[in-house]
Amino acid sequence: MSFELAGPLVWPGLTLLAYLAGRAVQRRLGGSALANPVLIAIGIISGLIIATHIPYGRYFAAAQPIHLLLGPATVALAIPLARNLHHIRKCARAVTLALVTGGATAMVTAVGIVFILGSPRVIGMTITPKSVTSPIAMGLAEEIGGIPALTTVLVIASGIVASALGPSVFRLLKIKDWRAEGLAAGVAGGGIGSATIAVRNGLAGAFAAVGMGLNGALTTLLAPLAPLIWK
Amino acid sequence: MAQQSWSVTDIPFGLAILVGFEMMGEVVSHLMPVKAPGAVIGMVLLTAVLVLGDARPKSQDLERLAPTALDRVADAMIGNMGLMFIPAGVGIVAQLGLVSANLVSLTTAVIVSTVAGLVATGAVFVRVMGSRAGGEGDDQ
Repeated sequence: MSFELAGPLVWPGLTLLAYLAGRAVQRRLGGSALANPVLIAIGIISGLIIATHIPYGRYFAAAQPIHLLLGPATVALAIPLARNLHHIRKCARAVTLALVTGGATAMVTAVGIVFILGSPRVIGMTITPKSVTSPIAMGLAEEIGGIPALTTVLVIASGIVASALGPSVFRLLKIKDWRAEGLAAGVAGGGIGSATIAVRNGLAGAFAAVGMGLNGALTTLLAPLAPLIWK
Repeated sequence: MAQQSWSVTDIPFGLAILVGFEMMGEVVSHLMPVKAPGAVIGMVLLTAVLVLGDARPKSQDLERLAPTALDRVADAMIGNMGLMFIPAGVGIVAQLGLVSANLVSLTTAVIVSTVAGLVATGAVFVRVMGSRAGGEGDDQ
């Protein structure tokens, strides 16, 4: 397509513009969490590459400069974590119990629902690791026979759901505790859930980073059990 | 937190620390018997260095552990992490057939399991702690 004549930065540039457009739409809609900028941007870029017949692989290769920032951004969660580690140490037992229960619940309900609704085995293996951060999830999906690219999309969708519905869920549960809300965001919403809540509160961000990291470990142990459901 | 002077030259410093720990994490990940992503290992390593690197790990001092440049770069990256998920997320276009064939199942599973995970984590945490309110936070 001719606009690729704009040079190697055209896809990173368009990705950046789509993200800004997504944020502008969200602001226009009064900051609604359902108008998620990431979701909007994914829609814009997807529409664009479909309309211009650009294969996804070509877009992804061109957008690497943005994709590669995910690694250092994940490492950056160490800062709220280090800053608040003394809070986490004080409630290590609650963190451990909540994490194991929450992580197992998210995984078992996801796999159970796609099984009951009659989806094929490959969908089950793809959705099993979806609550953990995408690099772990993709590796696990590959290991148990899922589709890593689709797992990534489900990880993002879970992060968006956790970010959008988290505040309402905790209001309904009448829980006013940044530690609980942060941990839950990390366990159920992975990287996006953690990043969203880290912006709202540093303490919550620290608990989210712990939830995300430890749920990655828990899911790594539990995920190999999922193939046993589909005979 | 005390506002310190911030100059453009600090950006490479903060970024270099994050990139350096990511790379260290990748190396460690290759040496480990189980699969774990380098970025998550890097996060654990940097946390350890930030906490252990301080001679006085008192709660009031912890917020001063991280250099300001690192703080600023980290805040900017965490605040815009969504941007970095877009290239992988567009991968949905390569899976449209599978997604549309299982749309109801996938949508239901993602929404229900995420909410169930939030509820279970939050409820168990406050049950064990014995309080529904707390954790005011001291760093922002």
